[in-house]
Amino acid sequence: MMNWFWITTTLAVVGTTGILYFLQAESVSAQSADLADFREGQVFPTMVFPSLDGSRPGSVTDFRGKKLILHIFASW
Amino acid sequence: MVGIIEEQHPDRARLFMQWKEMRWPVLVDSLNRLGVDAVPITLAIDEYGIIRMVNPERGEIEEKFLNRTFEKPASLPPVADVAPDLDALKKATQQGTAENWSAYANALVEWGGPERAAEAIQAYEQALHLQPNSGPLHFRLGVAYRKRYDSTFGQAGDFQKAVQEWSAALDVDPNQYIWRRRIQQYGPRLDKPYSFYVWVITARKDIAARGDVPVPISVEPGGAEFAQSEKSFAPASISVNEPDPQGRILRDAGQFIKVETVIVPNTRAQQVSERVHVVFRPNPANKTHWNNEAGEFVFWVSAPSGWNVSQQLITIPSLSQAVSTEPRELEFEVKGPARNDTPTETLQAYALYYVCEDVNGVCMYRRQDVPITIAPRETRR
Repeated sequence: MMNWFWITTTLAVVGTTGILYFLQAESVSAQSADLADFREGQVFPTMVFPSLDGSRPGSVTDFRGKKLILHIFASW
Repeated sequence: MVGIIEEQHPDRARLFMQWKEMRWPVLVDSLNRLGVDAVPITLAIDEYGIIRMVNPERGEIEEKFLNRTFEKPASLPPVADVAPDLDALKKATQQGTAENWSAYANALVEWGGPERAAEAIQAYEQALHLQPNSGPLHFRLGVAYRKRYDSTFGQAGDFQKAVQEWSAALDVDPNQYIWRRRIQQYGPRLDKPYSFYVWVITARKDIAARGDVPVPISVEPGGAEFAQSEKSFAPASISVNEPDPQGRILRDAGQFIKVETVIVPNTRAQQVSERVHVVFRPNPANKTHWNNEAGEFVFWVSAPSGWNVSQQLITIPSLSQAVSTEPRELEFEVKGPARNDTPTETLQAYALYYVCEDVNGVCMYRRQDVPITIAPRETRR
């Protein structure tokens, strides 16, 4: 839940694209991910996941052709 | 904007998103297949699927990502947009590799539904037989056990096995915070970084206040999931009276009420506290039900010398209807002496309740002894 406090207080609208952009300045902390797992220039994994709304399988590859802000999170 | 959720119960995130009025697609990674070891992580991904920024600084996203043109790479992995073929994955397990068993198990958990949880568990066990020290396999087996526990296909012991598998995973990689959080979600307050799901209460109130109906969640958070963090153990008051100190109430040895006890440890080895979850279920075999009109359900736990409990006396109010068969759940915490010199200890506890069985039409007041055995952590598996 603490994560979300910071996220929601830093919600901003970026540029003219209408993309809602989350940024949590405190996210890189003692709890932060091993960022070596995600490196700039790396193709994001193409694996398929269930959708939260149950509509259909989903993958980040569904958004090929569009720039994307991907937020990996938990509600706690 | 797209999200990927890393939770055991992803539909709780639906409520969270409704509360915060977030309307973007979210994918579910309860199994932690992505392998992230903490959240949140924000990535800027270009139109070719290539990561261009990792946890970007505020203010740089427009200049360095949105307004920038990225070169198309010579080749890209194929687009994947369909659910896995379970039959094909099952056939592939004939090759006998841990990877094939793991892929089949993952697909069963994500796409097979709770009715196939037993198959998923068996597939993970096959994979673990081949790779016994795999943290991800232990973690995902724990997820499968807990998912089955939360379904109508749940079996006695599923929750405890989930905790054991998550603990085994964390032993492999103590820096994996997604795995640690899964234990802490159900664990003692001394080990909690914060309350995991107390926001659910506020969210429902806020959503209702604006005239909307909160989306349902399939598994209501339990006491441990609402519980706040604490810095020191708060022992029970000594002023309460034991309800059956001489043990005069006739015993139920489990023929009327089935009891399941789950011990969730503190994930930090230097801390000696655990959260105890106890569930009481009327036995359907003899059509036992709670006799709500007769009186309340009472639970008592005694702390041996050197131990403390958070509550000695716990009362569960009866439902308003005359009879019912719901599971009755309670939680409390125990704290023992320092870990190194703590042998296996059994705390004496018992429940007192009014039940009726409908085979012979008998109603009764019974006591069931519920020994709470706390083993040193290294002997729990």
